[in-house]
Amino acid sequence: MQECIVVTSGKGGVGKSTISTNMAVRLARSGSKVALLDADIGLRNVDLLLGMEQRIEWDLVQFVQGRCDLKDVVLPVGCVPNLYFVPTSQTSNKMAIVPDDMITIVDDLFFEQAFDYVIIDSPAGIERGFENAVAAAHRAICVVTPDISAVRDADRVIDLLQKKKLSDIQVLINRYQPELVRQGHMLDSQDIWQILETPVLGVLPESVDVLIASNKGEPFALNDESLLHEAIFRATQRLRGVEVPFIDLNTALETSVWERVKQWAKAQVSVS
Amino acid sequence: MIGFLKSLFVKEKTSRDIAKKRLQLLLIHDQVNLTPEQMVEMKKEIVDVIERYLNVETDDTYVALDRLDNQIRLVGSIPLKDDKPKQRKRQSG
Repeated sequence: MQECIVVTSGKGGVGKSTISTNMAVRLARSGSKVALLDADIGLRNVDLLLGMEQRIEWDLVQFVQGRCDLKDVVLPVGCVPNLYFVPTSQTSNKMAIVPDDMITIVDDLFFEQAFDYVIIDSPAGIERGFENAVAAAHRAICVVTPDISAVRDADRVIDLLQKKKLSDIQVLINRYQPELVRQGHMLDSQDIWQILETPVLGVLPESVDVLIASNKGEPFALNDESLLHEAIFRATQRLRGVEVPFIDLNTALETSVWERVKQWAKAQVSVS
Repeated sequence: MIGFLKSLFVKEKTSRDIAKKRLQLLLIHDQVNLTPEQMVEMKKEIVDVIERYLNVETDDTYVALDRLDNQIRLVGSIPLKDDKPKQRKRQSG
């Protein structure tokens, strides 16, 4: 089955690029042939998350302008077999591509290059960049952080997607902090589900691993040990239609706090 | 002491509860797609209609959208002037 999934949100900085990158990595690791397409013209970032910023020669805008073949733009990701990266331009503006171009590109990826999944990282906002990103999508993942502005923007985006007859929409909650939920300072997944009335695909905990992974240019979904990996793994399983339970982030993070205490104790011993 | 007991039995609203309530109200307004001017106009017209039949305390009317039992509702409270009971008192006195 071939599927084009757009990762969107409305609000910026909620983790769209991180999530699309790591979902693509995880899907590819499970054996699917995946194209990860950066649709954020002028503000591309997926290249950095993959550590491929030095390898880009051609981009989508150049393809649309007829200066290269689409195959020139589709780059294999060295560290993940089956994963291919499709960069956009860092210098052009969003008007350089129209929604119909996106449909042509995605059709080519499916019918000429036999991809199983095309994951599109949408830019923030609801203007042309968003229109481009959703034009070819079969389904949408709306990333939301548990704060009121992100939830409001998500509601607006979900409404826009539904108006485009894109009915397969799921919410992915990012930067979730169980401790703050327990203290009564953060909306929980149940609250967000009730407010947005949209099924929740998964919940990713707040984690320093995201920053570390982006510093190194190595997606965290490559590291099986991390809790984030487990969370994204389960989300992609659900995406493929496999029913898996949600992680109990409360208990999962309690262990990691304990681990931190142990690490701290170790550090104290080694200092003295 | 009372404050302490209160804190034991009355669950204080957390910032999470407040955020949830605010969001639910906000999204109702986004959904019904009425401008604030239209809301004010509608409220005025509703009160006007009721005034034709009843003696309304116009300074204290409340008409707003809310969510109750999983349904968006227009909720209102329109108090009436209580001049009639006073008249009766005077008559009897």
